[in-house]
Amino acid sequence: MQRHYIPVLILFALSLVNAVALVGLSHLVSTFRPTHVKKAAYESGIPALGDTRERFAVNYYVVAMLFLLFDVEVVFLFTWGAVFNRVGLFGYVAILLFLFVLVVGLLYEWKKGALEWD
Amino acid sequence: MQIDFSNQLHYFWALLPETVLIVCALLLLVVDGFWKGRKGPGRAVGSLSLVALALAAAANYWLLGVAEVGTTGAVAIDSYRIFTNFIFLGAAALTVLISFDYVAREGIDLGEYYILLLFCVVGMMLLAASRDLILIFLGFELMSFAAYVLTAFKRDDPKSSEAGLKYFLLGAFSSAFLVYGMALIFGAGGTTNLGVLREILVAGDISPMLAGGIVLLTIGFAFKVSAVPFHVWTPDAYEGAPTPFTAFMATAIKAGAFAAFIRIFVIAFGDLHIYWERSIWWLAVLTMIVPNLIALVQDDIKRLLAYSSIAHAGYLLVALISANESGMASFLFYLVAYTVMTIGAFAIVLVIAGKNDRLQRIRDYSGLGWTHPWPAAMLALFLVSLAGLPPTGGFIGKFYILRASIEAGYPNLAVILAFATLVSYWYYLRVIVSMYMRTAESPLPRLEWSGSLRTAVAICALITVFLGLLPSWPLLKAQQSVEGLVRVTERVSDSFGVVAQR
Repeated sequence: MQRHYIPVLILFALSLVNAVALVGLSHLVSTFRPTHVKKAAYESGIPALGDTRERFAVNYYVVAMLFLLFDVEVVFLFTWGAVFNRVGLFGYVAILLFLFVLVVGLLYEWKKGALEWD
Repeated sequence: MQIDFSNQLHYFWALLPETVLIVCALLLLVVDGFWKGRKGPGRAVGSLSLVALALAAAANYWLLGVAEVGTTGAVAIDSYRIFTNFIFLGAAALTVLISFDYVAREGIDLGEYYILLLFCVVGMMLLAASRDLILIFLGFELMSFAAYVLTAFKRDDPKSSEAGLKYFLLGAFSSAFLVYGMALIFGAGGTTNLGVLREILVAGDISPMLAGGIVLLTIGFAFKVSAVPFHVWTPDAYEGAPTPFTAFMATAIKAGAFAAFIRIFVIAFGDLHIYWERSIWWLAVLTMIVPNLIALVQDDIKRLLAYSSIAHAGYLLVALISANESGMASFLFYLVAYTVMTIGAFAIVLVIAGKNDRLQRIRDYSGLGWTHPWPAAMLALFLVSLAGLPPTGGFIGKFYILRASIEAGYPNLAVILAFATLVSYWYYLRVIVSMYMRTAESPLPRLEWSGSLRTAVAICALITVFLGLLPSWPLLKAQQSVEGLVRVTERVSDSFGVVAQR
């Protein structure tokens, strides 16, 4: 049974060899003449201003949490939709219950003002 | 009624208490959201959560008349589960009763407090009910997530936030151990169903994978029940959490973890006893000795009770390691006694502490017996019971655990338990001495304890004394609850290397 996994192992080995070869060869073969412009950050957004460890509003965390919640919901719904024909009435009721729980949560956070920005 | 899991809708009936409680908790969330009153929904939600707990208890009682087909359903319907469910629900109800005063005083009178408590109870009930490793893990997560939030519920108090963060980090860490152990056991047995695993895994045919899984599960559970040397998070988390929730953590959450511990190790892996008993033997010994010694030098009463609760986990481990019916019956009996006496003690502590929990040193208790006779008498009763002196439930519970451990061939554990108890007298009695034989430095003001808190303390005190004076009926119930759960197996040898015949 373990033989089935040999392709995966080969894939791991190949990707490891590939990564090592790319970095190692470019170190060995290329010439490196740094200038000020060459060393500057390239296509990485605006240069950093000040420290990154700043306090920021808790609203961002709330948004991130809600996003995660409904993201997971979508993941469940897609997998459920893919096997909809096979899970039958039980699966339908189960997903309705799941959605009911989510709706109660949504109702709660709405009424508590978690969806208001300020 | 017969429950047959080939009909999937029967899962609904099998999980009726959990379903009732979770529906009530969701309804309470909506009530909390739509609340229009001027005073905030906290008190109303708290009272309604008592109703929810009562409904769940009724559903749990209904389960008594339900039989299941076979022993391999993902959800177990046995008296063990029903008995522990009653303990969880009772502990939660007592916690709600002692919370009213506290949350009003500390300004955390929010409905979410009680709702999270209900979710926590649902997690515990799943732990006691599930006969499937995945469900057990889900139960742990549901219980723990609510517990992390409740530990950090005093948002303005840095101590509470610190406790919550520590508890969360260590809890997540231990969950990783648990789930990895479950994965290895799944690899060894090919299923997550404990009923099937029990038939597949037999002694004498143990693979390294299974051994690794058992070791990791042991570590994970040791974290969850706070057994030494995996206990370091406990005093900090207990000290920082809101006091009524500390009582809940020390009793119900520990009971929930123990319920799953027993479900996996004693019931499912009973045949593998010789493989896991040695590691848990050491855990039990350390957990009985170390916290009792550390508690000797504690000045803060909450930390003292936290170390005492760790030591009690050690006594419960002795009942677990016995792995016979009298061990499990004594475990259930002791759990009841331990729950009421610990919640009672914490209730008095939270009353004495006053606003912002200022008075928690033991010297704050000096002279209490003369200025405030009632609270002092109640606290003395609970401490005497925790110490294990007659005529209280704690004494009888310890006695049954000692008997079970000797029956199972562990006289050495019984001796260590007795010595650990002797050591523990010192710090329990130190508080009582301070209350009755010292004069007050600065007399306490008039105590404010409402009717609900007094009711809870009275219930705890009555049950503590009742278990001490008339233990036969509750013990009979406990014995009936565990009948037939453990297979009678032949033990290879006891801790002295002497062959024990059963």
